Amino acid sequence: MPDVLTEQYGSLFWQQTPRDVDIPSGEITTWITGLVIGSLVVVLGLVLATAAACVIVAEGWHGRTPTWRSAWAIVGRRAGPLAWLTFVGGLLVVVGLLLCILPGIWLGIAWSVAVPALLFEEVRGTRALERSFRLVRHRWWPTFGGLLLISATGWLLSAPFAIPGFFIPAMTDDFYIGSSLQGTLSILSNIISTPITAALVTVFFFDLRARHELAATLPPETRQSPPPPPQSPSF
Amino acid sequence: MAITGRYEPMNVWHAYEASLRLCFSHIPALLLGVAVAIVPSQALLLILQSGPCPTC
Repeated sequence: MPDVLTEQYGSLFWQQTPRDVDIPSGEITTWITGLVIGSLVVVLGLVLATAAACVIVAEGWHGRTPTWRSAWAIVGRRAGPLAWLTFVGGLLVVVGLLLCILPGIWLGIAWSVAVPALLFEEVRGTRALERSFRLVRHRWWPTFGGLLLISATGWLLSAPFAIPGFFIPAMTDDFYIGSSLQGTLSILSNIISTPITAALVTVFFFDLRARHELAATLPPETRQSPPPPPQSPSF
Repeated sequence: MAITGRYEPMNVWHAYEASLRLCFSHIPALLLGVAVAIVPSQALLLILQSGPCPTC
């Protein structure tokens, strides 16, 4: 009788084991290792996809007609530096999140334009992070607000694919069918939301650079000093 | 790729509008461009996840 109850209850949720069997710890370790590697590949895929979208948006920004092939020709040459940037930046943001969350959010926003900096200014690794930090430094709150707004927009547009994914576990008892459906919906959701975020990051990068260059071109004496006193009339 | 030219500073709302406009005017290239990376990477995770699951 208890076995029947366990079978019925366990089938409602995948996380629960429907039958009482001894599972070798080696199998679980292998499975979890595979999932960790797969998750890292997904993160790298998302960064490369973001980079490709940044190139396409930049081409469009300059009035050219972009193609996905031309974008990947550029991203492909920078795949190594992009992977390194993801590793270094991601690691530091995770450390920041572990330190009461806020430092991680602050760093994540400060480094939000590191990918366009790497792609369009030929700066690599920590130099791309430094460049992003310098550009965002005095515009942190507007950058945060813009990213929040565009993330909400991306979420709304991808919601038709993202929301049904939450209900799939209740709709099917089969783990394999359920996870396949959830994975497919997650792919579609990311394909919609990634270009939207990348577009704003690219536009922000050009805007921040424009502000930076504008400030640099102003003569130092005109930035803070009061206007010069009127000249005394000469006779 | 070196980007050159003059850029006018814009506020958050204008940047938001400009990015949405750019997105919608280049939808096919953007969707294909991101799908090239997202589909294989997430498909790999899907295969690993639904492989020999020891607890299922």
